[in-house]
Amino acid sequence: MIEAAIWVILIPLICGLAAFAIGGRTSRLLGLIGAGLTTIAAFLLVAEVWVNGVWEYSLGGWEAPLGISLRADGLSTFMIAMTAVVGLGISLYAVRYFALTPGPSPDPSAPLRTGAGRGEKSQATWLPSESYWPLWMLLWASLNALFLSSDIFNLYVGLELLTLASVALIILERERASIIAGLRYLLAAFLGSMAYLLGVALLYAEAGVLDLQLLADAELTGTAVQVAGGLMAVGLLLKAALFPMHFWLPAAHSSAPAPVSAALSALVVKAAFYLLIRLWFEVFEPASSIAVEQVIGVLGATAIILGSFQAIRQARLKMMIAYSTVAQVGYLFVMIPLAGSFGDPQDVWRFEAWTGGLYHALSHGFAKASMFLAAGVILSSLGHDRVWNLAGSAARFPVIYLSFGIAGMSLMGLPPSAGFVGKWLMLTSAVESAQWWWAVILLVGGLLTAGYVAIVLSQALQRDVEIDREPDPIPRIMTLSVFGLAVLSMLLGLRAAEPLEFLEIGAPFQTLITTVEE
Amino acid sequence: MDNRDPLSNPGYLVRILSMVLSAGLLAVLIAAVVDLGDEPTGLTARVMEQIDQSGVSHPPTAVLLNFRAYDTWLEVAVLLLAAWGALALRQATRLPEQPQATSAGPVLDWLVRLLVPLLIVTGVYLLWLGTNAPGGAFQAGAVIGAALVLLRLSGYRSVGLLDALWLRGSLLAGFAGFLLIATVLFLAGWTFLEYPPDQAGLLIVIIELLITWTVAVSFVALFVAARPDPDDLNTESEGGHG
Amino acid sequence: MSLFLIYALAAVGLFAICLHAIITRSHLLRKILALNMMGSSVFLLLIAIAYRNSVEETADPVPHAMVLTGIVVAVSATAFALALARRYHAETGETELSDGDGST
Repeated sequence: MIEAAIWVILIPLICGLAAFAIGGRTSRLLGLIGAGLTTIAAFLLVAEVWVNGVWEYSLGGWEAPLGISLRADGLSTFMIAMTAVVGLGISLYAVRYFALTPGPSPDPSAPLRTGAGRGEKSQATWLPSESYWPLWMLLWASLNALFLSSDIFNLYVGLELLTLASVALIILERERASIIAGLRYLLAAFLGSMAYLLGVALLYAEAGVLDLQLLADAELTGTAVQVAGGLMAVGLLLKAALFPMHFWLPAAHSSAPAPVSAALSALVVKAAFYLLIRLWFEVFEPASSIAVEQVIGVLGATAIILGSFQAIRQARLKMMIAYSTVAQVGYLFVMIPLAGSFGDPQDVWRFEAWTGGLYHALSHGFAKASMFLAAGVILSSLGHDRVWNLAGSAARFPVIYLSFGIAGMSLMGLPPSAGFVGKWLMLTSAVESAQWWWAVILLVGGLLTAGYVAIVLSQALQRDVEIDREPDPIPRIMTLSVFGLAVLSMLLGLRAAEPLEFLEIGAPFQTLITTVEE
Repeated sequence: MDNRDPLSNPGYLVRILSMVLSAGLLAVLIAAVVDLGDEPTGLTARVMEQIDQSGVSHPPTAVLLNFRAYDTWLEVAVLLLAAWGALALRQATRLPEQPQATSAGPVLDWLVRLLVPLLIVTGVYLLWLGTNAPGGAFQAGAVIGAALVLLRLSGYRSVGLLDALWLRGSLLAGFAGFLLIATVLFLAGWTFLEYPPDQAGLLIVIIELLITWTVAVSFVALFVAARPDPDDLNTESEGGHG
Repeated sequence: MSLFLIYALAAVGLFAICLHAIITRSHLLRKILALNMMGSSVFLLLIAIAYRNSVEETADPVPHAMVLTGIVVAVSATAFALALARRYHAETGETELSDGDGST
C-alpha cells in the first residue's frame, strides 16, 4: 500500500512550502513538479479505489470518534481526479501566462528591501508570477484535503484554508478591482464559514461525534439536527454561490488572473458543492424534507435562468463566463430535488440524478477552465475582452475559439459531450420521477447557454473585418492546455460508463446495495 | 451610495428585512438549543481513556497536538496564508520599524523595559504549562507577539531586525516543522501524523516551540501589514533604519 | 433553566445580533468586527457544550480544542480582511463597499 491519498495532500503542500521558502524562478519549477506528481498520485488513488473499493485511514492511528479519519470513496476520488486533470492543465497554462502578462509594472516606490542588511541576496519580491505557485499549490492541497476529510470540523478548517488561498490568489496583481472583489469574497465566505461552524457545534452537541460516517450511521433527526443542517447548507450555498447568494462571484472570478479564474470557477465552487452533497445525502438524509429540497431546486432553476440572461447581457467576456458559472451552478442544485426524498429509497432515478449532477460538475469543470483560460489568451493578446470588439479575432487565434466552441457545446449539453451525459441523466430522472418542471428548466437553460456562446463565436468569426496584425505568437503550451481541456469535456461524454460506475463505489443509495449484493 | 439620508435611504427597508431575518434565525436557533437539552454527549470519556498514550497530560493539548493534530496543522497553514497574503498586499518583504519612532519618554520607556521581559517570561511559562494545564503554543505565541508589537510601537528595534530570509523562515517554521516531522515519520513507516509513543512528548514540544515563534511573528506581520497607509511604508524604506 | 441553556441562549442571541449587524452596517470595520463577534458567539456555544458534556470534573476537551483552533482561524481571516480593508481604503478613500451589485 502506498497510500496515494496521503500523497495527494502531502505533495502539493511540500512543493508549495518549498516554493514559499525558496521563491524566485525556482517556484515555477516546484509548482510544475508538484502539479505533475499530484496528478500521478491522484490516478494511483483512482486505481486503488477502483480495485479495492472505499479507502479509509485513521490519522495518527486514532480511530474515528477520537481522531480524524480520511476516506476516499468513488465520489471523493472522482473529485480528486477531476481536480488533478484540470489542475494540471491550468498549471501548464500558467507557466507561460505570467511570462506573457507581467502584471502591473512594478511599483517603483514599493519595494521595502532597500534596507541594507544580510540575506538581501535572496531578492525576495512579490511578483504575481512568483506568489502564484505556492498559493496555487496550497489551494490544490486544500481541495484534496476537503475531498478526503471525513470530519466535519476538519472540513471547516479546510474550507477556511481554501477561502484564504483563493482570496490571496484573487488579489495577486493587487489591482483595485480585484482587491474589492477579493474583500467582498472574503466577507461572504467568512459569513458562510460561521454559519457552517454553528451547524457543526449544534451537530456535535446532539450526536457527540464529528465523523461523517458515524453521523450518517446515527440517522439523526429532530429540531436541532434540522437547524444544524440548515445552517451548514446555507453556509455552503453561500460559498457555492447559489442564487441569490451569488453576488460576490462574478467580480471575484472575473477580476482574477486567468489561471486563477479557471481554478475558482472550475474547482473551488465545486468543493462547496461537493461538501453539501455529501452532508445532504449522508448525514441529513433522514432530517431532510421534500419542501426544502424543492426550494433549493427552485433557487437552482432561478440561477440557471437569471445567470444565463445576465451572461448574455455582459459586455466583457470574463464577466460573461463568470455569470455562466452562476447559471451552471444552478444545474448542480437542481439535482437535489431529483435525487432527494421525493422518491422512495429504492428508486433508481434518484441515483441517476445524483450521478447526473456530479457528471455535470465534471463537465463544467473542464469546460469552464478551458473557457477562462481561452479568455485569458484573448485578453492578454488583444488587450481587452469586450465582447462586441472581438470581431474577426478568430482568425488570430483559431484554436482558442475552436476550444471555446467545444467547451460551449459541453455547457449546452449537446451530444456527445460530457455535459450531455450529465443533463441526460438528470432529464431521465426528472421524467421518471414525474417532476417534469425540472426537465423544462434543464432544456431552457441549454438554449440560453447556446445564446451567449453564440454571441462570442459570431463576433469572433466575422469574415469581412480587416485584421491588421499577424497572428500572435501564443505559446503553444497555452493553446494546447486550452484545447486539451475543451476536448476532454467532450471525450468524457463518449466514455462515460467507467466514471459512472466508479461513482457507485460507496455511494449513499440503497438501490446500489442490492445490485452489488446480487 | 453617497447621499445617505436616513429617512429616504433604501437602507430602511434592508434594516427591517434584516431584523425579520435575524429574529427568525434567533427563533429557530432557540428551538434548536432547547431541543438539545442537558443530556451530555461528546468524547470526554474517550479522551480520558487514551490520554496516557498521547505524550501530554492536559486534555485539550492532547486533542490539539495528538488526537486532532491534523486540524492544528491545517490551522497553522491558514495563519501562514493570512500573514503571507497581507505582506504581499503591502509588498513588504521585511517588517519595517515604526517610522515616526523617537525617544519614547521616560515613563513609557520604564514601562516597556518592565513589561516586555515579563511578557516573554509569561509566554514561555504558558508554553511550558501547556502540557499539563491550560496554555500552549498559541497562547504563548500571542503573548510574545504582543510583546513584540509593544516593542515596535515604542520605537525599539525588534522584528525589523529579521531580514527577508529570516522573516520568511519565521512565518513558515510552524507549518514546515509539522510537515517535516509528519513526512519523515510517514516515510519511516508510521501512520501519517502518528508520533512514536516514546518520542511523542519531545516531538510535541518541538512542534509547539516552532508554532509559538511562527504565531508571534505572524501576528506582528499581520499587525504591521494591516496598519498604516502605503506612503508610510515607503518613506520608511527610503529612510532606512540604523 | 440549566447553566448550559443560559450560555447557549446567550450564544445564539449574539449570533443573531451579529447577523443583523453584518447586513445593516455598511462600514467595513463594523462588518468585519461583526463577523469576528459571530465567531466568538459560536465559540461561546462550544464552551457551553464542553461544560454540558463534563464527566466528573473534566470538561469535554474536544470542543475546547475546536475553540482554540477556531480562534486562530478566525483571527487569521479577520486580520487578512482588515489588511484588505485598509488597502481598499488607501486606494479609494472609501470605508464602505459600494452597493454596486446588491452586496450584503
